[in-house]
Amino acid sequence: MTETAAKKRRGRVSRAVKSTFSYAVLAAFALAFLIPFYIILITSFKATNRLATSTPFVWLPAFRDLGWDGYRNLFTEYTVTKTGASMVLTGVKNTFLVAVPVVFVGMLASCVSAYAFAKIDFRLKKTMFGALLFSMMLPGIVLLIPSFVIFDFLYLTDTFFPLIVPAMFGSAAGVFFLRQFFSGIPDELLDAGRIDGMGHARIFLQIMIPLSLPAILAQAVLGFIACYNDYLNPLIYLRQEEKYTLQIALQMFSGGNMTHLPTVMAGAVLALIPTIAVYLVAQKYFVAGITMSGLKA
Amino acid sequence: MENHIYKAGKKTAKNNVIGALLASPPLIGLLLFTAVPLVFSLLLSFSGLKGFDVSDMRFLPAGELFANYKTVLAHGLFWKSLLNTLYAAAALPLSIVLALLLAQLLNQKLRGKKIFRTLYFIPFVCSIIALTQMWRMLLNTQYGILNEFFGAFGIAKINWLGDSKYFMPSMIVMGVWQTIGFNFILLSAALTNVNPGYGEAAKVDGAGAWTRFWRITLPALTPTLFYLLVMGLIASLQEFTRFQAINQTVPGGPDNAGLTVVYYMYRMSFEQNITYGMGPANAAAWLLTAVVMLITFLNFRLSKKWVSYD
Repeated sequence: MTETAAKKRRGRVSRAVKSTFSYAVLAAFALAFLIPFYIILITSFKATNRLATSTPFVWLPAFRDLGWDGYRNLFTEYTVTKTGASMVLTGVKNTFLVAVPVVFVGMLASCVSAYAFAKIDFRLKKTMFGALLFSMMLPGIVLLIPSFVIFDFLYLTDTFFPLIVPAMFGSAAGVFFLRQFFSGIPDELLDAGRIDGMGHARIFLQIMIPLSLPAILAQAVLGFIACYNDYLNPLIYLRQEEKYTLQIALQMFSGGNMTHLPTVMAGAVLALIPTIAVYLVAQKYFVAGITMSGLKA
Repeated sequence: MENHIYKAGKKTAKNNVIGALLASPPLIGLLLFTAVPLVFSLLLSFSGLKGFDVSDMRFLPAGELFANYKTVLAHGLFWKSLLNTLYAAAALPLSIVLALLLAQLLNQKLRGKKIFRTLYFIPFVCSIIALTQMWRMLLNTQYGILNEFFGAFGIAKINWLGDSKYFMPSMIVMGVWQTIGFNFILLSAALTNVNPGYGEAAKVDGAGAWTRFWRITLPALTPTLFYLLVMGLIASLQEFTRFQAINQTVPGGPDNAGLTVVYYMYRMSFEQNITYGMGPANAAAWLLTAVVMLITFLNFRLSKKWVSYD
């Protein structure tokens, strides 16, 4: 009797030790992720550069030492020479000019293609799908220089064309993921649609799309974040300031000089807000999108 | 009765056309923007083109066809950049191991699980440019928080990004910080798919937590670990953005300690194309591709020894 009671107690104690240990490790990592974000956030609101770069670091500045100077500088101090417009706002505008067609048209192309691969049986299916899969294993970087030379030959460098048009054809990863999801939609539903006289277009728009919205949203979110954060392509293709995307604009004016730290950090905070916001809102779809494309590979 | 309604599931002549047509957009994109540049890149690697004007392109004479490859292979900086890239890839195993630790810790009944999950993933969605600016501040010699932290233990200030000894370790720490979330999410999902029945049975047989992890959980995770390793290596061998953005005063880092292969290619083709140009840059691209393919091949070969798919 006493022996089992002692065993039970020991079990409870060890479980308590285990969960305390777990919490300690998890919290340590949580802090390692949170502190850097807190540091850039609080620095962006510090009123003076001297306070921002003081040692030891001021974790909780007095209220009177806080200000909007970083953000005001960010929007007013850096202007596009030719137009006089704020460089950051121009960058935001350009980023969305690129991202909107890429995400919408690219998603549509991926969806249509995935529908064909999942629900229509045709002769070239295996070959075509194999080619797509193979392209995912290629190191994309080989394409960087020849693509640039080709677009330069076509007078398309320093335009948004190389950033937008190739992506509008859809992506292999998108097709791969969506096909997986579409395959899970029962054929009986499609049959029922056909009995009602639906063709491919209506089956696609009225059955497949509505039933797959979470998957499509997951891919769209991933696509938006990748496009918004892209740096290498805009860096090589865009030359004139008024065409810079946000990432390039930020790097250009704060990459070299750290003269006013609150401004630089305000830029970083501003660049982080959209993707973190999208992630937090669409977290469920986002995580599903990542895990599905990873686990089924 | 074999239904005449559900025709989409059959290889009818109509389906052969419609199916291929609907499926084609990504493949047309693949042809125009992948296959064409791919072939062109190979041609460029055998040419003497320096600038971007294709009309100047001439192939190398037959006797010196591989001159660009020889130039790159004889260039000490190329080897340095290759070693740097492989060194930077050390972030991957670190990131995977730590992600596994976090995923395993969160694979139990705990309060606040969701908050931790959400938090760990955030860096992965962040702009790399913003993150390099963040890390430049954290790693700053004068006012950086890292030096302040180490200073509390009496360690003298370290010039993390300005000293070639410390540059790459700093970048590895940043890389781990940034990629843990991705590896964590995939490993968490894989952990929830591990059949709890096996663990329970082993527990009844008296297997301890450690044994159960090594004998049951870990083998079940090997397909995911393999996927993360393969894809992660392909990505880290092509790293560029962080390395180009982090140090604008000394591009490539002190003593080129942060020059990756892609950065080397970028330098040869966009910054110093008067001396080198498209030929050597594309030769370097194909040498990198060969390394990536070799490593991927070895990965698949070795996977037979440790990955179990049952």
